[in-house]
Amino acid sequence: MNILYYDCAVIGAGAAGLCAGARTAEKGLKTIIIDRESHPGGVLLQCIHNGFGLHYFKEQLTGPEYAGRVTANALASGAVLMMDSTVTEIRENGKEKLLTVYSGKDGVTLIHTKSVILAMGCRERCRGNLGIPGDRVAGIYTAGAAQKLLNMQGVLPGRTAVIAGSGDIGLIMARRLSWCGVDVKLVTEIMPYPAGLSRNIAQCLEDFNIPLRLSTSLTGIYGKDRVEYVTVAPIIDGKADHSKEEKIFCDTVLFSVGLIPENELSRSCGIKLHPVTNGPVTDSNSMTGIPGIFACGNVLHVHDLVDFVSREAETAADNCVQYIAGMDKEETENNIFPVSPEGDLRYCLPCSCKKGKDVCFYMRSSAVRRKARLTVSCSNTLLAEKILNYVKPAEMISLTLEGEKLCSFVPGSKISVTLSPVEE
Amino acid sequence: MNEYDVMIVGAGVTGLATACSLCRYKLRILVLEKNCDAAFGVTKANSGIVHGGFHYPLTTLKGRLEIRGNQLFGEYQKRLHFPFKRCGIILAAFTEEELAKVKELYERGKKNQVPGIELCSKERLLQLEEKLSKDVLGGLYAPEGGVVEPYKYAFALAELAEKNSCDIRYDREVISGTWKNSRWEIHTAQGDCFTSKYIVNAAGLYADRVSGCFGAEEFAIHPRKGEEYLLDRLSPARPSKVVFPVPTGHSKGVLVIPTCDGTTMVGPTAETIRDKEENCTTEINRKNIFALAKNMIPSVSEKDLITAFSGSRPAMDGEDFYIAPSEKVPAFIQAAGIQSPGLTASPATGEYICELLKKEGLTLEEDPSYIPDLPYQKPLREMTKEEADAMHKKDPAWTNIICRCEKISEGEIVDAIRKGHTTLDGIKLYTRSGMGRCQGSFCSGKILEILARETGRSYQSFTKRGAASFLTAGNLKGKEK
Amino acid sequence: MENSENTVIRKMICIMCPASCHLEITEKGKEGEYLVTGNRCPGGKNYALNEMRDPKRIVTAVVASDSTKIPCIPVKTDLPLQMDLIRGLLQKLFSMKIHVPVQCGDVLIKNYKDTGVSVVITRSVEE
Repeated sequence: MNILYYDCAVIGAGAAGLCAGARTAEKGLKTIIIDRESHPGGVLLQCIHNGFGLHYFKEQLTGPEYAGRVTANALASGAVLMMDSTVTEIRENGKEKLLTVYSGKDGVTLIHTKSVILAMGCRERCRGNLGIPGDRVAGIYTAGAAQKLLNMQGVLPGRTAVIAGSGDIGLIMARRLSWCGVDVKLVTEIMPYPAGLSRNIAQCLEDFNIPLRLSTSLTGIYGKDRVEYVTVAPIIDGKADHSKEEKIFCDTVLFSVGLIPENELSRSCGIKLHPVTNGPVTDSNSMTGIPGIFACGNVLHVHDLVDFVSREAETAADNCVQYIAGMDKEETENNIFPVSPEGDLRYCLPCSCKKGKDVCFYMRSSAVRRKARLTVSCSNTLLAEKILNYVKPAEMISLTLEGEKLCSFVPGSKISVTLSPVEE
Repeated sequence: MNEYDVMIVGAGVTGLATACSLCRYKLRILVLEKNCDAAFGVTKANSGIVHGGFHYPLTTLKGRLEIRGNQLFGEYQKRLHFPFKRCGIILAAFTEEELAKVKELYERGKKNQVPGIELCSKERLLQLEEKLSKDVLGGLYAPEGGVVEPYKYAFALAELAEKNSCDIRYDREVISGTWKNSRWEIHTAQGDCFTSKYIVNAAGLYADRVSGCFGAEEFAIHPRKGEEYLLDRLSPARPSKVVFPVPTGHSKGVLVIPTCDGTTMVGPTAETIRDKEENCTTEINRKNIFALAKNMIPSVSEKDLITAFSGSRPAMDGEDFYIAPSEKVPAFIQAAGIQSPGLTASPATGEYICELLKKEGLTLEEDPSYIPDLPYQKPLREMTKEEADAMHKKDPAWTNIICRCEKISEGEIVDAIRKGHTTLDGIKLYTRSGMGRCQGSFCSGKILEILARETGRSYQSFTKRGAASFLTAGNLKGKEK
Repeated sequence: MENSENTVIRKMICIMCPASCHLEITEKGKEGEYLVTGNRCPGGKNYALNEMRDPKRIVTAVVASDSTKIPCIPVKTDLPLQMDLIRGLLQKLFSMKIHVPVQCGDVLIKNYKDTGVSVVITRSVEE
């Protein structure tokens, strides 16, 4: 067995892992980035469409271009990339962490590290999770799995498709399949509003006259060997109305029905997870419940834009660097403020913040609003405020709070982050 | 070349257990299977229970074979190394009426000499299984019952039979059998012709049709569909023992099953249907199953669902197994109507059919070159780091993880392909790849790549489970011609 | 109340960036002259005017390669292409094969059909 020693081990070489690892390495930490795929870039490599990087690189890039740039940065920083390698276990070993890594090339490797940054990304919910009735036939894919087949392996998943769910990957795949000559018959969405970005509805569906049926449920998938048809029904009073069920003939069904942070490893080492985000509970130091283990990107909560992933990763990396610098000091945690999401907010991260430390809150709305007010307050004192247009669950909201604003409050006081509708 | 002593129709657990019982003798044995792999019929979609031996009286053939089968499972596992655990079976009663029925079953179990069978008070039952609802009134405990992975068991039987020179041909559908010159001449839809001295009809749902092809007895197999729902490994509902309700009518009811591999399964339903090919799941059955399972174990939740499937039991009028020599045609053994407890009974059924063939005049001479067991290969997921590292030195592919949810290596997938499992479902059932919480979203593409590399075939030739279940529709270039 | 002078003739969502501005286009008296509102940057106005006059899109695709490791190489148009030319371009891309090594930014097709739009490679592939 090989044994390696590092200051920081980053798990996952997607946007989050590459940006975090580049930053820790730049700041002098001996860093390794571990990923199970052969090439760094994560899901960006299969997202061949453009629209990435407008905030982070100030230009429109395709997924592979964004991946190429953050990979180049990571390599230039001196971080070591360990590809084709799967982390199977994280264990606390005194103050350090012990990672077990399996790879075809090196067999089993043990990595002793002072810190870990979790950047494993997320996975897609699938047909089985939804319990959609019908037959178990060929031709049923998650949108991302179909995207990988098509864009990385050059293989068409089918000839005629129905897409269940209006998540962004599903919308992007509707256009991609149309361009490849596949007849996309329909996109269904159970909610009364789309799950994906508005621009994707415009450029991926409207350009191709693909109907989007809101408040509609995919009620069954049928066929003998391969998908032959699906049934769809409108949702009335929260339930599919089977009397209005309709057959749509197709040979392929793609699911784009939500993403779940991939926290198998986090869970196995005892990290507490957030019931809403399904990612770790983190404090304003991006740290999980286990000291020295940090989290960023889609493993923490599902993002809408990769640009925010990169920024969040760099923040996590900076916090990791500080943690290692102060590792020998006994920290007295008496300046913690718990954060509570209120009003229309589904969640708000981080779950706590500290006096004197700037914090960027990331959150999502549970409702669609034409206009909304976002406020941060503590003990009935307003600390920050922002007016937002077109608030929707599909789009993430962020807000930065300067740490000194908390100086006059008693640690332990609750910070309320509230999103409320504005009447026009 | 195509002359055999015994030909078995059907490569499910009954046919393959028969092949395994016969292959210790100097015989030429052929198994014909219409699907592209073993276990793809009734065997595949099954609760995977090795029953406790108290459901049926000894006056029934299935009752006798169940008891003998249960006893043989341990010995079979030692030789063949398939996943099997004697985790014990609990039967839980929630009403006074059910308690009375439990007493009846207990008496039957005693009569059947079920080892260790115990009539339990509420307290005893809750001590045995803490996941049970506190509303339970009492029940039964059969410590020798357990769970098995039916397809892995069937694959192991097939491997042992093949190792002992039995021929198994897949994608071969029998269409006719003619008795000529004291032999059967058999034709398949694929155009092959074989001859055999004896026939064993173990064709599951299609045993009636096969019987007809040979001019043997006329009977009807009534498919009785069962839906099963699989829960994530992390489900808090996973019991330590198989939990049964008190049976009503023909069905044993909806069970909560701690599968061999760490997941929890709830089901099955029992619904008589017409179409043998039908195996869809329905919303109403899903809701019923979850409601029934929650009565017994309240922590069962649809939130933990990872997949659902269904399959049909080959039921016959009379409800007992029909295992007997044909009275209409010579040298023909019927093995039909083998529904539950057919899996439990299968090792005993194999023996029993052997005896019937002997009585029908088949000469059973021990083969000195018989190999009684298979080599054991521990799966990567069960290896320690040290064992995995040692395996890597023999074959580096064993530490290249392909299925992240179930920790299945490239080495295991290549092994499955080289053993002839070249469909996605075949590889899945053989290795467990794609059986975890992502249900193959991450690994299916990688498995296709390995399949293409190992077989030299194109992506579009690969299927989910044979026939026209093609996974993809060609490459981009081909599309644009 | 609306009058004929400033009737909204089309609503669209800007696709220039993920901000997804809701644009409203009104006719400015003369035909072909438009007023755009709802945009948060000048790009939005340009997008709306182009949509009204001559809609164009950035096209992305993958092209087969002779690489032993990366069978498909992603490409994009460096500028938006007229929508009615997209299908033809895609047909051409489906029939091509890229010889590796290539660098991200290498031009695969220069000035496609004299539109001034080129197709460039978006992923470096060494072997």
